[in-house]
Amino acid sequence: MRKAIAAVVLIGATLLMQQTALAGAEEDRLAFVKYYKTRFPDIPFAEYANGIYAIDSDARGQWLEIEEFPPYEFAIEKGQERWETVFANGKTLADCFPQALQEIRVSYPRLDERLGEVVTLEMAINQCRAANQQPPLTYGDDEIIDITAFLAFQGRGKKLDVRVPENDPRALDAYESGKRFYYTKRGQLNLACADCHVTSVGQLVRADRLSASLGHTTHFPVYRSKFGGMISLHKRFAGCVRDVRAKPFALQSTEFRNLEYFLSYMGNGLDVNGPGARK
Amino acid sequence: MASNIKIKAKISGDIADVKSLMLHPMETGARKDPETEELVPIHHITQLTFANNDKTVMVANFSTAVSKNPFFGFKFRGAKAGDTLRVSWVDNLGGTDEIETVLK
Amino acid sequence: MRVFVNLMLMATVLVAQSGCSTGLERRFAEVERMRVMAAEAGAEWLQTEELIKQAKTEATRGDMERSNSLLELAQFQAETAIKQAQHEADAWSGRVVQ
Repeated sequence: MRKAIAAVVLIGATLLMQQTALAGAEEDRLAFVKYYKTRFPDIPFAEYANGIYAIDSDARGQWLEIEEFPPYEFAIEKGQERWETVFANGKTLADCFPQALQEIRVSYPRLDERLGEVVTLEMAINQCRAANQQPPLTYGDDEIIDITAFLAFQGRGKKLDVRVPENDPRALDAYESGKRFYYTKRGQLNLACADCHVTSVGQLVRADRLSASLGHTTHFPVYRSKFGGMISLHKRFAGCVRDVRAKPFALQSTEFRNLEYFLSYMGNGLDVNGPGARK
Repeated sequence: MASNIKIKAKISGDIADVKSLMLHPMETGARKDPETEELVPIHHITQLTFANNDKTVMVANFSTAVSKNPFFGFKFRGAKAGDTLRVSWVDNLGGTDEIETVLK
Repeated sequence: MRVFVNLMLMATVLVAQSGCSTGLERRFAEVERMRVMAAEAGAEWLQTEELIKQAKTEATRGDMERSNSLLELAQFQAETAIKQAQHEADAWSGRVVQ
């Protein structure tokens, strides 16, 4: 009898913990949104999809001019070509994705039930290629970024809706792992993502203003004037880690995928508006 | 071959506001290939020309100061709907590209 | 007698040399071990690996002073990264936006 009661209590406690952790994820997000609302009372929620342009009016003016002739248009066109390229076995990338074209971008990142880890859009593209006996594309190279640029463009207007399934402790682990990464100080400069993008949001780092993390992932991949080319979200992560003088993690590493998972969840409800154009 | 120039033009009164974006590596000759460590040869657009109904309205002489995939915008007077605007460039290796659009 | 002294001298030199190079190897191995510890904690700093590599190059070239100062810098980076990771294991949660 006592064993039975103990078992029930244990199961109940575990369920409660999972629920609490999930409630934790949504609580985290609401606290996140509230923080920026308090910090910038005049900026509507939807504007955060525009990143730094939501809080820097001078940069916004320049950005609107660039958007008249977006530098990422070439990437979208090349991406579409790749999306429609037929493999040797007669299939295309589209055959791997059951969703409508516009829905593909917002379907990621997600916790893959079979693998038990976070799968991003880039990973899904290479999974598709592998399933069709095609060599993988190198993460961070133009070929794969062009495809994500095309899919981001097709997905414009759909809202980020990252799920952290209640009944999957692996999802909660990944979320917590990404959250921990976000708030952990690292590198010689001893800075956490939060130090710049939460605590010091809107302030200047040399000639750049620090953007809010709310909505950080909506507009990737991004054309960077600095490189005269496109970069992916994980390339940006690697750059930031390098900037605080820590050794960057590999593109599509577990650390970066979990960080993407956490950051994307924080941006739930915001419109996808990629590809973007930045300095 | 399809053109790698994009062009947009808006007429207001008799002034046309023209914006163009063109694909070109615009190598200065001072950049090293990250893998071979050798200098990438100089390769850039030398002249960009806009002609409205075959009459030249803008000539731009580019050099190494213009960066990759140049964006170029300008305004000119004397435009009207139905005019054919042609933009073309030539680079230091003899490469060329051009595109035409009808002003609306 | 002279042969004996020469042999003793040679033995001393050999022992001294082997002790020196083993000590240096041990030092490099120790710093590398710390770098790996920092890496496993997800906290490795940007320059540590490169500093160790440069220290090795300088040692091979015979500039022991420079090699040593580079190795000390690498050690500092690795040690501090480990301390940072240990501290952050508890400190990170205090930064979460409430």
